[in-house]
Amino acid sequence: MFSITLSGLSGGNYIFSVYSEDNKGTRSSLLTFPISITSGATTNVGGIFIAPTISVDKSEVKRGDTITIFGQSIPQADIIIAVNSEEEFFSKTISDKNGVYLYNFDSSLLEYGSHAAKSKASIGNQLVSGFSYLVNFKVGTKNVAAVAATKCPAKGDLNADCKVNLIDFSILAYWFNRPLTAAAAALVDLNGDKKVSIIDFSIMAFYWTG
Amino acid sequence: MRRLFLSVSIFGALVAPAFAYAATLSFTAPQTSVGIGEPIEVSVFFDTKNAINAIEAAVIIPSRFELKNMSDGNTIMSLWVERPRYDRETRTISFSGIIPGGFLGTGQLLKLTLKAEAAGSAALSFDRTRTTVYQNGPDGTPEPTTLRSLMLNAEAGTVVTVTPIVDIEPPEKFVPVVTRDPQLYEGAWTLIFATQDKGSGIAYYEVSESPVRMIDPTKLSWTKAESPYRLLGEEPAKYIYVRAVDEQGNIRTELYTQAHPLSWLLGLALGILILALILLVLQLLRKKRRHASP
Repeated sequence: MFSITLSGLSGGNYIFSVYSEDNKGTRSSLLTFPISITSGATTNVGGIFIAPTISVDKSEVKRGDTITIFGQSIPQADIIIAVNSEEEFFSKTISDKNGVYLYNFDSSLLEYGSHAAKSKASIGNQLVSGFSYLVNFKVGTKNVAAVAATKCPAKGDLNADCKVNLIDFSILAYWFNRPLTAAAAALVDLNGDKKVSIIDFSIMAFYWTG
Repeated sequence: MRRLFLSVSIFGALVAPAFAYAATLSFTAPQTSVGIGEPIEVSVFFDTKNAINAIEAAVIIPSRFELKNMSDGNTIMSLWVERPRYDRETRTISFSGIIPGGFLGTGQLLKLTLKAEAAGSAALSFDRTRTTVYQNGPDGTPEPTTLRSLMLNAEAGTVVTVTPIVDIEPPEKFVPVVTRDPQLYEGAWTLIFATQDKGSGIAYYEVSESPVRMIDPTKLSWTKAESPYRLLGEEPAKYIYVRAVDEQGNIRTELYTQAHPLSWLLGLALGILILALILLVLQLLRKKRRHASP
């Protein structure tokens, strides 16, 4: 449970984004919602349910072995884990009193190749969160332990401070409609099309941390 | 074969107008008939059932109408990549921006004020080739979007009441940032800032770099600026003021300083202490002189 109070806002439409960080420093996906604020009035927003965090213990799992999918949500929540494959598999578990959940998934159900898992939480089937970020893994011929999840965003962190914020946006904006140097291209061309366009800004917006 | 083609075409024609994607860009106006020479306000609206995080768009102003004003007040766009700009030659307003974390729902992007110049009907529309909406995802995937035009009628004698925007609130508070990065102005010190105005919209920003703190910022010399802004000196000035001005002239001034935020208060306190000490010494000397005199 959490509560935040903001004051001094002008009347108008706002977009708020919230995320959580678990005890291992893994961040949840952003939950974004628009709110219309009336000047001089108090606006209460409730029922915000942030998606669980998610990690896997192996980046590659030997077909037939189990891969552990784990993360954190609120205590005693029903956790639905979806493993995306040609056929999508759904598994269910319950988070413990600290909100930690863990599920050993049988990889023999999956074909060789790349797969991804995501999770969502619900309380008594009344309040349901959105899905977590996707976490990728491979089904192959050997087990490879996953590298500890880095706190830094996968893309968009142009000044390497492990955040994606207004500074990174400004660096990208500087190169918008400018010919790219080799060094700049390696850094700011997020989709590899040799230019900075609105597509790069869209990718940055997805990885935004604030 | 021809019959089959014809029937498919008719089916397509019947189905196409009813079909709509999960995302829609459209215009709304309190009324679509306007008197010649009269203003009409039109909002550019966006609606989506799938989360999106970036929009680039171009709006074509029909030849019977003239663009008088545009405002980004109360926009859902969090950060403009290209602030709305009107090209008189092509009669096109172009803009692009992002909503970090994504957006679901309905919201206003821009508000336009048009004036009818000649009688007749004309469509306010989007330039399909320059309008794209992107999903909130890791790959920058376009979201299929329905683009809806708005037919406007200019007629002699029609009167439209346009309610003027009353905005007495300054733009939102913001925090200017000074940074240096090899990929930003070749490593020069750079000022970064952004804010929003929920009323009339941001008109422009100004920057002033000062070696001294100014109690009255209106006495500073201001330069119009856009973020990211390359600072003048080899080192950033001690006090950098940024002011955001909205379309109604309301001003929000923010200060970036490397000095301790309370240093001027400490200086003032020290000055008062020194003055008090001088007064005390003078009083003591006066007393001593009075006692010494017969």
